[in-house]
Amino acid sequence: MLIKYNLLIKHKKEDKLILENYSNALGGGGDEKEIRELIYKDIKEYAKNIKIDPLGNLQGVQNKKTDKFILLTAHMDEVALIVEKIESSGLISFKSLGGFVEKILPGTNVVVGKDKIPGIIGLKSYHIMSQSERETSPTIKNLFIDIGASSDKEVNCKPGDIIYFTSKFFEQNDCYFGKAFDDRAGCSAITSILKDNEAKLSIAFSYNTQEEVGLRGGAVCAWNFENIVFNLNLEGTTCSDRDLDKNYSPSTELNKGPAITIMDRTSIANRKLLEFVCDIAEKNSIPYQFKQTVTGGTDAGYIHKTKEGIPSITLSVPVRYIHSPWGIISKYDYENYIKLAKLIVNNADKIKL
Amino acid sequence: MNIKNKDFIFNEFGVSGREDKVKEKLKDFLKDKVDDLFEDRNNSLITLKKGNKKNNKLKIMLSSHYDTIGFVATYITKEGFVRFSEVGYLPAYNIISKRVIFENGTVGVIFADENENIKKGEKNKYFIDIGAKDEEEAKKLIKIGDMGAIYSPYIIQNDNIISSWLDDRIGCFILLEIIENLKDNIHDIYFVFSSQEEVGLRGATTSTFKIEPDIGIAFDVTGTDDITKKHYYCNSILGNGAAIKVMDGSVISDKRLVNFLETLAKQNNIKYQLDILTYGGTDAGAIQTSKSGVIAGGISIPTRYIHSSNEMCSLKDVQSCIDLGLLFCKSDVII
Repeated sequence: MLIKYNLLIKHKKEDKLILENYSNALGGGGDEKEIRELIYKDIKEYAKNIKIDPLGNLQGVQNKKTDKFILLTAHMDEVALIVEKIESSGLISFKSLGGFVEKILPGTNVVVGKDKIPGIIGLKSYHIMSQSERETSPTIKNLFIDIGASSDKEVNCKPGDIIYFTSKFFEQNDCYFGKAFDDRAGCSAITSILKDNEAKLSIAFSYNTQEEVGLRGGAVCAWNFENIVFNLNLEGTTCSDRDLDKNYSPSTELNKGPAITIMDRTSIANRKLLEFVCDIAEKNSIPYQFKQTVTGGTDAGYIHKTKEGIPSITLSVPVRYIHSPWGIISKYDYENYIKLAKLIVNNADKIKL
Repeated sequence: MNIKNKDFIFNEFGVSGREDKVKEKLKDFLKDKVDDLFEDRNNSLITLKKGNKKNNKLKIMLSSHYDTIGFVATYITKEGFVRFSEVGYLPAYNIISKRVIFENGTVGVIFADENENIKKGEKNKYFIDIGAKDEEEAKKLIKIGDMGAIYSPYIIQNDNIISSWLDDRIGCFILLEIIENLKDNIHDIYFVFSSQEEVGLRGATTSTFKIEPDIGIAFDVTGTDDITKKHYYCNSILGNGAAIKVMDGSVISDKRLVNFLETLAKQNNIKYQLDILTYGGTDAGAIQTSKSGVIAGGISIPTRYIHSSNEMCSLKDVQSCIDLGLLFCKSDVII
């Protein structure tokens, strides 16, 4: 028994390390090379037929005794910024790559382009702002990145280069802090599953690109596979426990377990699959919650419409302050998220759809 | 037209993604009337009436969606009120004080925390009251994720039908009438009762992929403009006949198909009008862009007050749609 227990601890540590590595890696929509190579190194000995599809999705299979597959998906890209123009003053104007509230940006440190040039997102100082400027939120037009250059000639980047947040992963009070948990949490879950599972169905997987800019990798990812029984889409989702007015429908809350999506803007969970997942969680005493808003969309939106339809369900880890330079997830939610995902994969052969 | 023997189509529950109740009833009703009956993997029901032509037989798809707009329960307050989100497009001003029925039969009424919320249309402060005294009692009646819909049973008056679910059960009714009366069709006719139209033409997307039709026609409701007659957003008029779709927000119908239907109507003295809608979308949009493209169009039923608790169609228009649909199915379509 002791050996088994030690193994469990080891797995948990490993799962955390994978998440840490993935969270710290860079990869925005269309620029997923760094994170993709990192994932490839992790999974190459556990999977077959690994390939990169034309949109940059990293795909492959893990064969078992059957030709029926469960499709695991998560997206590699994170929300980021993109260089729009280098001003003659040496400042960099930018646009967003994914959905942001602009007011969270000022004062953030970033890295720009291939050379990862450090910079900060600047905004006029308090003293020289008019009263109306102080009271309103800046728009992306009023913001710029300052890398300390005094003219455009000193700036070694060009329009189209991607700008990333630099938040480094750490643990505190049983929470993980870092960036890009949407959806590196899903990526690390797939990697953990590929490394260790007892599935009877074969596993197909796709680490997708360009989700944050319109589910584009997800739109094509499932067309490459045949005989998919169902799709488990692993995500990070909104969490509203810090601004919770108990009288209104919250999104999710930290420490209440992984969140199952009943419906969002792009898909409605397959009913039998929904019952199946809840049933597994209950039988194994894994806490879970529902995402109690219908906002946002995921790759499942396209996957479930692929070919004659692929039943699909999204399982998410709740992320506080999602789509910002820093997010917080609960260590317990993450552990239960992986546990539940593995149980779904291991029992996938039992579902009748 | 026989409404009595198939009025289940106006009464059976089926919100987007939860169409099972109406699907089972349809299967029962159709099993002896069609040559084949199957589903895609998104809960659309597909039936086939085989054609008797030997060579160059076409696959023709007639589609109407059997999901309705509705609600999904997202949260239950301590006091036992059910917070919800809409499934499909439901304007805030259309839902206050309406009666809701959930799939399990539980009935409730929609209201808001304060009058101010109603004036501002703040739907997150609306609730469904199912008469529970607290959270615990409410949870016995409703689970989070349960779906419901505004329900006004159908009535018929002055040759008009009024009901909450005419979008698009009236289209399903027309397909059922065609199935009942169609004999000796030349081409293979696939009748599709598609799912999840109201949330993004999802069922038609997957069922069209499965069928691979040559021609597709959507039977769906269209907006009317009988009062202002400005004809800016839409142009059809209640009672002016079957509305042959020229365009809507999701599709521009194939010109050849529009011409064919128009000629067919003219030659057989079927009352028709052309349907030009600048908003909305129908299964025709999903059919047209399936695989490498499908010839697509629509026959629309002019309907007043779409997406409200009381939608109204003229049964005369419905009869014209049935007649036109039947003729189309019987003819050797050459396009």
